Amino acid sequence: MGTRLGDWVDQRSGWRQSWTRTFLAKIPRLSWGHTLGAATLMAVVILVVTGILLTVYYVSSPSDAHQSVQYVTNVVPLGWLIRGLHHWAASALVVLAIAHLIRVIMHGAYKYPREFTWFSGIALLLLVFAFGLTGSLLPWDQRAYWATQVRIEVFATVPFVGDWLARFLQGGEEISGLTLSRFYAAHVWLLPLLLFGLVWMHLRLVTRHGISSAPDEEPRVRRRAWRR
Amino acid sequence: MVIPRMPRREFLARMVGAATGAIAALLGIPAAVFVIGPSQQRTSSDWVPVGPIEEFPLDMPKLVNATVSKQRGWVVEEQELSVFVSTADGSDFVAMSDKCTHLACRVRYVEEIEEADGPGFFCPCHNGIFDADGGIVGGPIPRPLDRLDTKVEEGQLFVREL
Ligand code: HEM
Ligand code: FES
Repeated sequence: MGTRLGDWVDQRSGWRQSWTRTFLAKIPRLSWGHTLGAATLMAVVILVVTGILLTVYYVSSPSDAHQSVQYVTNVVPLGWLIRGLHHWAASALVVLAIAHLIRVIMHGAYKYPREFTWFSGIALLLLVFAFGLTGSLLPWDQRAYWATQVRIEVFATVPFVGDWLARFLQGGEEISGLTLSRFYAAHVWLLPLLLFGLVWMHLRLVTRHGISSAPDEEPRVRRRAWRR
Repeated sequence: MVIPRMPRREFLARMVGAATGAIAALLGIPAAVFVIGPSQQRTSSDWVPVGPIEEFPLDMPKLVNATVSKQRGWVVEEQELSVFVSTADGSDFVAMSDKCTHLACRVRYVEEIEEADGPGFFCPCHNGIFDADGGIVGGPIPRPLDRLDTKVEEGQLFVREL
């Protein structure tokens, strides 16, 4: 946007500077591993878009949840695609986030001054698991019910507070419509808000510090001089 | 042949832009299809039986009730259908909804309405008056009574919402 409109907006927003700093910044030698964070972000974008779409038809009541999901899958045009994308992007997100974490470890990119980037990453990973826990109950079929049952049993084994925690998650004595409601509320309201905040923070930190150089890389200038 | 020269940087930037656009379209078009979904489909109603043809008198319309089940999304709703059926000869039938076309009160059959010069339908809500064929006579009614499709099969009369 080198146009007059671009100038006009730039004078009022300074978008060019943000654009340059974010996308045209000088970066060190990169590897394919460095694309994993962006790939993770792409999975998040797909999940947000398809998730919003699914709420158009999904009903989080015990009498309708299952049928509304079946309706999406079998009747709504391209419903199978939207639901499938949400399902597989969710699995991909876990794999990609962990691969990204491993890349960060391998490059020692968690070290000073990037500790907060790492911590926000850990928080994001926990959030991803919370999305998985709450989301997998929503289809309200046998699999959803029993898988959630097992996971809640796991929470119940936490010393001292386990029982309290299990009841808190279930919204009562056992898995019921109350569980479905609160999982839905968490899945579409609470967790996404936390996710947006944390992703924002994570990316701000990444652009602030710049990408770390690979541990085996000499400082750029010296390496060039030495090679020539 | 002239080969256009473009800096590598600009070429790559354009490719990234194109890929972004493609991904947005790949997600956006299915999204639109999904949301529009079945909203524009006309749902056809089923035929519902309302009784043997000989039970319909020739001289006055008969009010019959039937239940139609309609599937809306994944929910099947039962709806009450009240229909006036009139026939002049016992073989051709006219079926009219008893819902006033003004604001959907129930109309009733009256044997003698002064304004209609004979029998007709009267709506008590705002004094809407229809003639015996459901045509407009007086009051705030915007259009004649709604008609339903009819058919006779094995001596049974069936109606269907249009
Ligand atoms: C929803 C999940 C996540 C998203 C969307 C995300 C996104 C990103 C992106 C786009 C980058 C830029 C550089 C790159 O791609 O490697 C990045 C860097 C980074 N991420 Fe993540 N990330 C996520 C989860 C994590 C996790 C689980 C960790 C580790 C606990 C983590 C730690 C880091 C660190 C330390 C950097 C800086 C790397 C460097 O400067 O070389 N992130 N993240
Ligand atoms: S509803 Fe029948 S006249 Fe108004």
